[in-house]
Amino acid sequence: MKKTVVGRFILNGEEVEAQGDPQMTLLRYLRDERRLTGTKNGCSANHCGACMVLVDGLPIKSCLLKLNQVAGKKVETIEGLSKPEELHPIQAAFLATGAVQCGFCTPGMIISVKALLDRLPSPTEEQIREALKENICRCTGYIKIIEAVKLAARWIRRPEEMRSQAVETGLGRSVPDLDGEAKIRGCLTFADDMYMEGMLYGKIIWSRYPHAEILSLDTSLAKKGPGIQAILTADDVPGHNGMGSLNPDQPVLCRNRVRFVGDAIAVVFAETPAAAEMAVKQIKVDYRELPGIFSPQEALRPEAPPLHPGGNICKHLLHEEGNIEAGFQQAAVVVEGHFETPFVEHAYLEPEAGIGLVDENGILTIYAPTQFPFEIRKQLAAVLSLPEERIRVIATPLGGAFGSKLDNTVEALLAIGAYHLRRPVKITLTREESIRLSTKRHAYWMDYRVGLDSAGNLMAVDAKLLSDAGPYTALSPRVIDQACIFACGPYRVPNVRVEGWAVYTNNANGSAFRGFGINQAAVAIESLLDEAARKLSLDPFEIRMINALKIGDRTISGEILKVSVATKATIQAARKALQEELSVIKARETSGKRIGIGVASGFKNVGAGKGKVDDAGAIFILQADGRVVLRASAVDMGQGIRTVLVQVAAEVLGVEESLIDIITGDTALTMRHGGAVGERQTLIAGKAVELAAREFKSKLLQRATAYYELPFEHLRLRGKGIIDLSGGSMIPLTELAKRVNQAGENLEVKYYYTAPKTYALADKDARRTVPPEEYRNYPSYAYTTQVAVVQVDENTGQVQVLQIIAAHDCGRAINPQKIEGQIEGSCAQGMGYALSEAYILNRGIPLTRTFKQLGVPAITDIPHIRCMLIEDPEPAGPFGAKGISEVATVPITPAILNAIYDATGVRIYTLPATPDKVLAGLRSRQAVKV
Amino acid sequence: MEAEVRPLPKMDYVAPSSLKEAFNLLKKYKEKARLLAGGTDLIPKMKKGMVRAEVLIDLNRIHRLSGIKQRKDGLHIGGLTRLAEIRESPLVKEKAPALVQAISLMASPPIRNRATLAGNLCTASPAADTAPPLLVLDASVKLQSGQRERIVPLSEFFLGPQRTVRRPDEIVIEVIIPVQEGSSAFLKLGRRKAFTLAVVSAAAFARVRQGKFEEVRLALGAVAPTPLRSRRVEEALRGKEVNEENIARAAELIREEVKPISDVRASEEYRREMSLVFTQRILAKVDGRG
Repeated sequence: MKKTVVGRFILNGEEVEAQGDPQMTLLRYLRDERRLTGTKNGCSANHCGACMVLVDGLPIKSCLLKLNQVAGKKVETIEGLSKPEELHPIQAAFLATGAVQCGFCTPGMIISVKALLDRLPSPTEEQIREALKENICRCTGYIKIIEAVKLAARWIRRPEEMRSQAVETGLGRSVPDLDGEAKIRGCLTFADDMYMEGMLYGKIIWSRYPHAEILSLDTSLAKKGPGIQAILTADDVPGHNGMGSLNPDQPVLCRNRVRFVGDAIAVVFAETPAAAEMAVKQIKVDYRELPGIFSPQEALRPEAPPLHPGGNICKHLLHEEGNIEAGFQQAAVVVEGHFETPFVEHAYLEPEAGIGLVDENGILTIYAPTQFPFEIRKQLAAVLSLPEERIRVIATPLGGAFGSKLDNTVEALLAIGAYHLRRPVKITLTREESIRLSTKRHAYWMDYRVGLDSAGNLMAVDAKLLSDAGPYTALSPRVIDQACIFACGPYRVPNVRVEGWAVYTNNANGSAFRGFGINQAAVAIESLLDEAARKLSLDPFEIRMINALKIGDRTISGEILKVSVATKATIQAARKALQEELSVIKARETSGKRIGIGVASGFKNVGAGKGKVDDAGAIFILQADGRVVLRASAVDMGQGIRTVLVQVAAEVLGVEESLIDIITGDTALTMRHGGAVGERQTLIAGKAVELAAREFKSKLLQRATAYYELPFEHLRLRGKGIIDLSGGSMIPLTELAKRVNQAGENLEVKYYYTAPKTYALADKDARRTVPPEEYRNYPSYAYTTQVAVVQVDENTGQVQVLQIIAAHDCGRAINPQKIEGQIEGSCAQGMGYALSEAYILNRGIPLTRTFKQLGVPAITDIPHIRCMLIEDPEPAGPFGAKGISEVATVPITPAILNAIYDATGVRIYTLPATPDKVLAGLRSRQAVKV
Repeated sequence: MEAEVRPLPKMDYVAPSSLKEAFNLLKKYKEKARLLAGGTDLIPKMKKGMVRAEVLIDLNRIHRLSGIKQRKDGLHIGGLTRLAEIRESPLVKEKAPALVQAISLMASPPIRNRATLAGNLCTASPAADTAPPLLVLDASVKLQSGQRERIVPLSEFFLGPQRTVRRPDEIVIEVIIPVQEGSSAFLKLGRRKAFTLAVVSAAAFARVRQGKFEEVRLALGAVAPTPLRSRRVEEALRGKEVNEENIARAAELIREEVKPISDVRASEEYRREMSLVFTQRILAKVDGRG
């Protein structure tokens, strides 16, 4: 690469002489040449705002800005915002309000806020939204970001207020995120922020076709290129050529057949990214296109070509309970509908990236943002033909995940790269590659028939759910199993027939996405319940109260609910909140704009369940310096589980939270555990930490008793030491640690926790043989009711959500701010699902290719969200807590659809409810009236 | 069917520093050459293989092609003037507010820093956002080839998607917006409030005297193969009294003029409906009734 002086400019107050390729972007220069990695690369297309910097005080996205365009100018990045010993008021406000979750969009967001507040010291909410509309955040739902900007403006005016701000501490308090400071400074190291000595760069050759035979692969020309170290193909996979947790059928590298455009055929490793890209261009692949299958309906036809040896059905299950015919005979009202929901992209801000290397002990090590390090390690062991102990997987901070960083993305390619080359290898996907490869929420086709008696009791539900699994198994069987378990919502239904299919196609790979199959089913059941309520002249809250699951009830799959069932409490709380706000809502009615209110309830599993072992471990160690190390079985993807686990540990032990150092997400340092899935970690890992902490505390006190001859029952842990309540003396833990060390001992506790056994719906034997009191599908459940208020423009069909009320049961709120953050973020995602998001393909070719086309909500789309937390303790969880996050995505989507109906009389059966569909509905209603 | 975005193919690149030099190059290479202005549309298209060229002639070094000047006959905006510069210009803000509004809703600041006016027009996208405001402002385009120059009204400039009357040897020197009295406005409908491409865009210009439309012009984007100047609606309103009924009746005529397509963003029927709604809304913005 030619290196020339491109120009001089001021970077964070220091004059720099930029050398490099004149075509290099400012973003690449900042990251690769200056290692200022706080400025993030989210899309390289000016769509997401993660790369925002200040150029002469103006917020500018640096990803397309060429170096010569900043010559002579003043460039400021997140690193220049504050000195190491202080925080800028904007940073401090982001931390205090919980405006930071995964932290990937945060530096760019803070930069935009800086530009705004420099220009307008006291912005209105409208001005805040306008200024941040080009910074996309997928985690927070923007509510706390708006709060943070208001607080920052205040703190800039009154710095003394900021300095006197007390930091929250303790269980049940909104303790700031442990990694929050690193995130707001832009110094939390995401996978793409890692640079290793002698590192090689990997680039992937993707399938050009959704379904084709590979006739030949010619890498001869590409291999001769400068700096090319290897071009690996299917022949270079040492063991099983496939990844996947249920069925490892997705080739690491395809040998002779491709089944979707996200299939990888070869991977180039080169000394520079440019050399790797050059080689990719020079690789020749000859294909013979095969007839593809582009819908599950096509796949089920007898003449459809089989995509896999076993045919096209990935999973089929039928569940019957009671007598469906008798149930419909008793029904006074029957409502039915055909519903369709599209594929949806997770749209986390951090594209997949990672580093693979072989460490000094010969351990093959993968650094990647994975939600499930132990599962990836297991799969890699088969791919590499190595024992699991020779592989280490370290989850780097996840810049958002939402289920899509559960399946393999770049890990297997990194593994074979490091295995063959014995040098560190790095792969970072571009946004287009990420969208092309990554799993999606399944597209569903659903036919529902629901019968109720004249009092509004659900008598019968007949549901058929057909899901597009895409080319490989991934988690599709478990997703459809779960969709069937939750097919009837949080209600009692005596007579049920639920049938589900997951079917292979050449579309996108369907797998886990926040809600895991429940979202689609909720759209159908909650829409029909709304219709039934209208037919029966029942209030939408009332019909839900009548049918709500309560303690002692059986779910449709046969589990008897014993504790912490808060359906009714959430319905009542939401109803009360709506009544309080009704007059304000009504006042917003204007001519040409119709206001509507919609309600929906939902419930969701806490814990992976369905027969999967829900386990976690916790290791406590007293270090020689008196600090406590907690190695916990968990992965943090921005939701803040690390903070929550430290809160649990500190509460049990009685010490300060700041005394505890937590390590998570490392297969070499933590005990085996399930993934960061199914909102399970607070419940399961939290329980493991609680129980381990109890043992550790008792060990600490016993040791203190032995060393200092003090009465055990009078000793308590407080702050940074042990206090003797009888004598009042204090033994600092630093002292105790010294004694332990001198004695040549160590103080360590290891605890492994497993939740009670669960069963999948597909496991028919279990339903027959397990005693009803013991039969369960999941460790626990979370319940919610949400209300959406919308405004529909009757001339354009545009829907604006004005307000959301979200009542949630969380067992016990360990960190209320983090819970609100999960609810607000989920509501924003559920709103996008209802109104604007879809991943669209045309015969297997994605039409949705860029971040902008995904339809992800921006800050200008977000309504006011009122969160209400209900605490109905779950005895199995730490201090009564259970999980929350995914459940909040479930009812919001149908609540918005019901609100559209309330406003217009138009029922939307096909998501998303785009303006054209709403308007077509309005027009056809007018036509009927005429 | 393929799903490929390829790196930029190999080609020759020349960056003339004068118009004369540029015309010589155009004469030499003719159809084999493509002109590079901001490149925000051309470069991605070349990477996707949608546009091919053997020679890329970069106009960015020809300084006299950019700048905004007021002359007796109107505002002259050089073809290479960046959209960001136009948006910030007090002259344009005063004389052609609809153009400023349209640019403010286009793309993102870095794109606006690169993209040029001539580039946006020559791309000839049916959804090019600068076209409707310039159409209602009765703008013309000055084209030059060697010593020959001609001025074409913008309403005759577009031939179809990606097609204009510009001949391969011509360069768009400037866009001329005539001096006129009246008010102009721009509106855009997208999938969301921000961060979005136009489903329909609309611009209007009106001069109202004694309660009557002395002059009125209307243009819509993304509803026909080219940005559309609606002569029928204009004709129906010209000289008429400004009232609800007249506007509603005239606006109905837009249905016959638009020729929308269905795509990922919206259906044909929806675009047709929205053409009517946005015709009414944009006229309400300029009809002087507040």
